[in-house]
Amino acid sequence: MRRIRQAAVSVLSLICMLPVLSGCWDRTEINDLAFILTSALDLEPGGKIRYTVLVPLPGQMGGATGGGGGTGGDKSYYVDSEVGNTFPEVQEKLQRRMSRRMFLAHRRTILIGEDLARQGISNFFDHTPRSPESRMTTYLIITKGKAYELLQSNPRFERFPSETIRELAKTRAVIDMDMKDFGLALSAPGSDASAAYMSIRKSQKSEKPSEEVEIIGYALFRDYKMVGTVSGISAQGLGWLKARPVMATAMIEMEGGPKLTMRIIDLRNRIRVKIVNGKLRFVMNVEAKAKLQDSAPPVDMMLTSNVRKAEKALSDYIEKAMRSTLKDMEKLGVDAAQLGAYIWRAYPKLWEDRYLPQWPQALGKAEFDIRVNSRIVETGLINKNVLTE
Amino acid sequence: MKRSRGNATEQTRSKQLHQLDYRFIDDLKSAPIADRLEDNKQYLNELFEDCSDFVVREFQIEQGAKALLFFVDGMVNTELVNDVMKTLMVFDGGDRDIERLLRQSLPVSQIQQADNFGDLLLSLLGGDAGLILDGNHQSLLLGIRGMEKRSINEPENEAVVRGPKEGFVENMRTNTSLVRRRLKTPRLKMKHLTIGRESNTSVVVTYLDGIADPLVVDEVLNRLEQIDIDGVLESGYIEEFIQDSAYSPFPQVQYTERPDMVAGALLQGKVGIIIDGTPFVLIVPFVFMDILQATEDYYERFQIATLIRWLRYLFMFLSLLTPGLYVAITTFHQDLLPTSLLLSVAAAREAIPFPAVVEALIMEITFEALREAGIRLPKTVGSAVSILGALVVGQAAVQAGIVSAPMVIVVSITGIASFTIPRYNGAIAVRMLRFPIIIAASLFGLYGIMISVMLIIGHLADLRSFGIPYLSPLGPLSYADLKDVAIRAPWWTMRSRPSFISLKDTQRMDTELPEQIYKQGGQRGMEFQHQKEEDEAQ
Repeated sequence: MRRIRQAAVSVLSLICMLPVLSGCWDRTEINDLAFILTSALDLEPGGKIRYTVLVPLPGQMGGATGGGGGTGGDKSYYVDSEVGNTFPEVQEKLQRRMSRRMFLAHRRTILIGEDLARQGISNFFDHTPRSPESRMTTYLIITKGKAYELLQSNPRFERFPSETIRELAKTRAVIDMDMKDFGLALSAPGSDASAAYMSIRKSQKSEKPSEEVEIIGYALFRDYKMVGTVSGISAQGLGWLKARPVMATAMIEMEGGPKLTMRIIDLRNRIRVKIVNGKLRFVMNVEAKAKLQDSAPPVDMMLTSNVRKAEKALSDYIEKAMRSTLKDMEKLGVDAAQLGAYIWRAYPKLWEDRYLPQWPQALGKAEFDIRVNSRIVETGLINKNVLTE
Repeated sequence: MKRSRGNATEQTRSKQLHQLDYRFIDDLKSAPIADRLEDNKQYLNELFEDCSDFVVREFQIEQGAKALLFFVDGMVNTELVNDVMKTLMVFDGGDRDIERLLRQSLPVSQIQQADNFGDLLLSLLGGDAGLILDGNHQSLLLGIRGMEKRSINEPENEAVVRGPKEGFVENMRTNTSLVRRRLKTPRLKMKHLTIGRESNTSVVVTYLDGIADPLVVDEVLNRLEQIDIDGVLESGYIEEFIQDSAYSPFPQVQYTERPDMVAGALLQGKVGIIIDGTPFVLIVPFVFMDILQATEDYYERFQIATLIRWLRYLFMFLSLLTPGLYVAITTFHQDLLPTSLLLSVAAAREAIPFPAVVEALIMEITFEALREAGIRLPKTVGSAVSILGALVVGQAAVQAGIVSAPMVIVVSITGIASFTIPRYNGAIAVRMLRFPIIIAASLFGLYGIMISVMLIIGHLADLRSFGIPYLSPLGPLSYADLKDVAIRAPWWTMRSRPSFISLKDTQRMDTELPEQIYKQGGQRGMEFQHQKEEDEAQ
C-alpha cells in the first residue's frame, strides 16, 4: 500500500509541474514550419544583399484529403525575396510575412549569384554555420547571372527547382562538393575552393518550352572571392586533378582517323610530389576505365591492336584535359586542384619557407609528369559494327 | 433411489453426532465417521440439505450388513455404480467387515479410505462415490468418476503450423495425462495441493526430479501453500499471488495451453502448475526473452526459426516505439526525416485539426477498442465489426480529414507488431507501455523516448521471477545461453540446458553424435564411409 501511495504522490506532483512547463516546451507541429528548400543570395545595387527563399506549400501538394493537386496548375511552392544589409536582417524581414517559422534544416542547396561571389562570400560563411539548423552538407552552387533566376525556372522533372539543382549537383559527372568541402578548401593550406557553376537554359523544340537548370562547369575561388570559371574539357580535368572518380564523356580521335566516343566510368589518380634538382615536380599516376559508346567510322575492337590504339588515344585525351585545367588555373592564379596541400604534407618546412609566399604562382613553374594508363573495359554488346559482317 | 430432501427436523438436529457449525471442509476433518449407519446417514443428509444433486442409496449387502452408497449426480459413471451395487447385493454374501469388501468384493481399481467427513467430502465432491457399511468407522471412496468434459482441441490462441495440435482442457486429470504422455518417466513428479476454501481446487505442481532445482520447487510449493482464498476459478488467481513483483506490467509467470510447451519447459528445469478447471497451465520461472519465443521455434528448421526470432525482436521495438517515434519526429525533430518524406507527411497533415499527439492517442485508443470488441463479440457479429473498423478507422477518418494517412500506417504497423509477440501477456505489457511513451514523446521528443526506454530497461533489470533475474541470459550476461536467444541454434548444438535457470542437471544430450554432426556437417559423411567398407568387402 505504501508503494501505491508513493506512486500516486509522484504522479500527482508531476501533473502539478506540467502547467509550469507549458511555456517552455519546444514541440512544433509539422504544419507550423516553413521548410526552406533552397535560398538564393544575390548582390543588389548599393552593396545590399538580396535573399530569396523557396518554400513548399504542403496544402498544394495534394495530400490524402483529395482536395489539392488539380487546382488550376498552381505550383506547389512559392518564392519570396527581401533585401537587406545582413543575412539575419533579411531573414527577419521575410519572417514578418510568413505565418510559419522558417526552418533551415531541410535546405539542401544554397545558390550564390556570380556578382556576389565575385565580391566575396566571407560574411556568408560567418552567418551560416552559427545556426545549428543550417547544415554543412548543403550543396553550394554558384549561378551564372542572378541566383534567384534559378528559383524562377520551371524544370519539368522534379516538383521543386531546388530538387533539380540538388540532383544535378550530386550526379557522378560532377565533383561532389558540399559546404563542408568548400569550407575545408578555403581554410586548408595550399588549396583554393571551387563550386559547381550552373545557369538556366531553355528546353529546345518542346511543345511548351520550359526553363531548365543546366550545369556548366565550376566556379573557381581565390580566398573568398570568385575569380573565374572552368568548363568543358577543363572542368573534366579539374575533377581528375582533384583525384575524384568523376565520370565524363570523351570524344577522341584514334590513330588513323576514326572518331570514338568513350564514357570514362572510373578514374584513379595517385599524386606524389617530388623535388628534383630544386624543382617542384608532381607525379600523377592515373588509372582510367572506360566504355566505348560509339565509333565512326566503325572500328573492329576484336583486334587487340585497335584496342591498344583506342586506349592510347584516351590516355592522351585525359592528359590533355588535365593540362588544360592546369593552364586555366595558372591563368586565373588559383590552385583549385588543391595541389599545394600535397607539398604541405610531404615537405611542411619547405612549404612554409619557400612555396607559401609565392603560391599559387609557383604552380606555373612546377613540372607535371602525368602518366595515364587507360583500359577499355567494355565495348558494349558488340565488338564491331553489326553491319560489317 | 432416495434423494435427500432436507427432512431434518428440530428433533433430529438435537440428536446429531457432530456440530454442523463449520465454515470450510477442512474443519470437518475432525469429524470421524460413526459406527452406526443411521448416524452417518443422518449427518450426510444434514450436510447436503437442499442439495438436489446429492444422491444417497441405502441397501443390504447379501447376507451382510446394511450399506450406504452416496455420490453427486452427474459426477460419477452411473453404470459403474450399478455394477458395484450388483456385486454387493447379489454376489457378495460375506461378513460385515469393510476391509474384506475392499480386498475381495469390489471390482473397482481406485479405492481410497477415509475415516473422517473432511476427507470423505473432498473425494465425494471431486466425483468419487462413497460407501459406508454399518458397524465400520471407515468409509470407502470408489473412483468411478464420469464427469462431462470437453474434448481435446487445438489451442486457438497458440496455433502452430508444425507441432502437436493437442491442447489442455478444463479437466486436471486429462491435463496431467497429456504431460505424462510426453515425459514417460517416474522422475516426472506431480505434487497435489488443494487451494480455495470453497472451491477446493486441485492444483498439481509438476517438475522433473533430478533436473529442476529442489529449492525452486520448494519455493513454488511454499508460495502456493500460503494462498488462502475462497475460490480459484482460473490460473490468473494463482498467478497474482505467486509472482515476485505485483505491480509490474510485465508478466513473471507464463501460461500456456500447450502440453508440449509444458514438457519443454520441464525439460529446461522449470516448474509447471496445473490447475483444475482451466486449460491454462502456469510455468515458472519466466524470463523476458521467453516472451519472444514460441514453441514452434524448436520444431521448424533452425535458419527460419532464427530469422523469425530476429523479426520478433525488431517488431517488439516497433510495437513499443513506433507511435512515440512518429510523434517525436514530426513535432520535434523534423530535420531527421528525408525532405521528400517530410513534405509528404506535411502535405498529409495539412488539413488535420489535431496535434500529432492527440491524433496518435485517438487512433491508438480506437485500435485497442476495436481489438477488444473483436474478442468479445460473437463470431457472427465479429466480421461486421472488423469491416466497420477498417472503414471507420482507415478510410473514412482519413477522407474526412480527421486523421492523417501516415498515422493510419503507424497504427497499423504497431497493431501488427504487437501481434507478432508470441506470449499474449507479454504483448499486453508492451501495448500498455506504448501510451506513456507517446505522451513522453509529445512532451520531450526523442529525449522523452530515451528516458522512457531507460526506465523500462531499468525496471526489467530490477525484476525477478522465482529468484531468476528477469533479463537473463542478457543481464546478467551468459554467453553460453545466447545460443537460444540471439539465434535458435540447431538442436545438436544445444548440449546443455539454459544455465541461468538454476538446475541440478545441466546436460541435455550425449556429446558424441553432436560432435560428429558438427565435424561432418551432418550425417552424410558417415553413410559414405559405410558404403565404401561394403564395397571393399565384396
